[in-house]
Amino acid sequence: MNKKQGPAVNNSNYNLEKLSSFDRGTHGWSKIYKPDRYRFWKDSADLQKPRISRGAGLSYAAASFLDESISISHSNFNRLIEFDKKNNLIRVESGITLAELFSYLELNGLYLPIQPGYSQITIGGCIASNVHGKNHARDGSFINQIQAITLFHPTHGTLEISPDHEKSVFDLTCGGFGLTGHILFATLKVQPIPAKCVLIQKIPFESAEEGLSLLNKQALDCDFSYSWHDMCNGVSDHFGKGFICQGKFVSATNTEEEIPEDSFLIKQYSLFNKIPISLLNRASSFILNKLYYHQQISELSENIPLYNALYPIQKNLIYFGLYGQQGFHEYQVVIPDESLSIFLEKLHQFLKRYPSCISLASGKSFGGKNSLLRFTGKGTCLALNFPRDNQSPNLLRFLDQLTIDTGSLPNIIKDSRISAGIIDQCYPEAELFRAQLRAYDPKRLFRSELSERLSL
Amino acid sequence: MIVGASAGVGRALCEQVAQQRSPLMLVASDLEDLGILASHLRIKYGVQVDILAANAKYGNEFIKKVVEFGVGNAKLDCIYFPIGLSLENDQIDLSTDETSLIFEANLTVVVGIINQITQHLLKQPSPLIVGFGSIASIRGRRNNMVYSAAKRGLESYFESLGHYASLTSLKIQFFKLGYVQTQQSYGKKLLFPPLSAENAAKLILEKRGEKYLNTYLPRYWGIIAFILRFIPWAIYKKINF
Repeated sequence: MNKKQGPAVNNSNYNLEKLSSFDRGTHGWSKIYKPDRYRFWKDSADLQKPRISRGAGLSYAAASFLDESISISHSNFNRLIEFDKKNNLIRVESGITLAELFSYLELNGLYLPIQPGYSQITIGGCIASNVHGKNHARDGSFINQIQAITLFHPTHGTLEISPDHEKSVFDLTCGGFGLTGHILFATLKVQPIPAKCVLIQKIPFESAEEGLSLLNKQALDCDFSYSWHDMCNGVSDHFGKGFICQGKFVSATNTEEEIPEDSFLIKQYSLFNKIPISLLNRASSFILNKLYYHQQISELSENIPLYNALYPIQKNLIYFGLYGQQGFHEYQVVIPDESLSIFLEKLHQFLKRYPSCISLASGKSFGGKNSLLRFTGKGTCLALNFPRDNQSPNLLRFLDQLTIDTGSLPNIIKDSRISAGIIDQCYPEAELFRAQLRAYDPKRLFRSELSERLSL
Repeated sequence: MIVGASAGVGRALCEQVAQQRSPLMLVASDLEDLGILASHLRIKYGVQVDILAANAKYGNEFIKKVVEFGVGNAKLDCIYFPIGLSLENDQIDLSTDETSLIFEANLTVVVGIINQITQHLLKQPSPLIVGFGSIASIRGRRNNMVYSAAKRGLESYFESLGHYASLTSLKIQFFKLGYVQTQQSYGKKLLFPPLSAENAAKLILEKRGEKYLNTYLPRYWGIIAFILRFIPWAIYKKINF
């Protein structure tokens, strides 16, 4: 990583750094400012280039940088501002991570039900991507637990936005990929923790269709609900064999250890993702998936700490490192109920004909209604992970077309190469989003590689 | 009390002291930054936090406000001075106003406050005053000329303070900071990896029991300082920094 000193903005220097999307599919050189005082935001109007906020930088797509542009890190804005115990509301700076917030809330017997599976993601990142948790069908997505946001835009100044005030800007901001301005603060609705322990029960199934159908049936009765599938062996009759994880809060003792410290896991991940080749290929994924399946179903129920239940990716972070420098693709899509069978059948047929390394496949039950560019809608959310290699373009082309043909919705934040053309065909309100964004920010001060690629 | 509390080492010290459930008095120039920091510490650690927004560029007025703030608390027994200011253009042609500003923020206000508040601190059983210098003052150089002079002056004052304090219960500590992850060092090419502000604060607090301390942080800078001082002038004058 090369560093270069740049001109200060109100005594804030910048670093010129090469940044990458988490899937390592997109790279760019950005000037990163890392302010630690609030007067920086007002002076940021002087910045001559487009800019974008940056939280933890963990988006799979390049949502927090643009080549030869400016990223502004919120890492120093990670504090608790106000806690309304009576109404279960907490106001935080947007740079606070889920882990930092969890550690405080847990002490007070509270938590955020809707969280992604990795605790180092920031609240600002959660808002900008409108992330989902472990049970979208029951709980919805992150927007459902936002009471209010304080947003800063050099032209509009500081705006207080909520579902009741400046609603159009609020709707544009939640799942708006940081394109409406810098999210400074967020007021979040938290819930009492029902219990500190979660009973995870695993229900094996023989095929993807069987598993996903069962997943959708029981999702509303669980606190946590997702499925794991082995799609590595495309020729198998048991395509997508796997298990469902159903989690319910229980008052019991943990049988699983808490996940090791983040710094240790991050070091392991950092070590592996520098390897020039992917350690995950069809052969290794086939073996690892078999081993993982048998290891998981050897214990069909266990009590785990809430932290482990909320952040399952934490202990498996090294998995993402195994893809090496080339990185990976994640294709995550919400498939309408009526298209699920045909989607799975066509996918199976394709993989029989063109064997590919699907190293990880997982499912969640989804609900709600799609609007603007938010990844929501009624159906089944299926995520497929595979290495970035010579075969992946073919698989991606197929998945793009299958998504369009089945009326499915691809997740923009999970795909660093998806095109504007695909998005326009899948998101009915894509053009509405563009129009509203241009009306709000005609100069388009906030830009990222993602926004440029999707012509937002 | 932490004078210069809202960023860098000052902010990290606030967090570490609050973790120990000690009440705090914070001084910084920006009320917004200060207010947010205070809210965070109160919520997270449940400690009492009082704040004073005052700007060191107003010299005497700043000293007066901080002293009044400190004396107003009968239990005040410890003051940290991570306050400081450096300017990018601190070279031979620095203006008089900017020269005064650097001396004010790094030296004059610290001396002024200590001179007026020490008697109040001595009412406590084991008071402590902590000052912060810089590796910039190891030896004179063509960049950061005034800043390094101010910090060298501050070190001299703290030595004198230590001499005075040896006859009292007052503890005096002076940390000459090497590279620390702050706005000052961000984006700069550094010879060594910087210490995080959090780790710097932890190391500083570990020493709070010591009667008198004048040390580098990280400590390996002591060796570098020794070498730098003995480089022959014929060679030293060619180093550009």
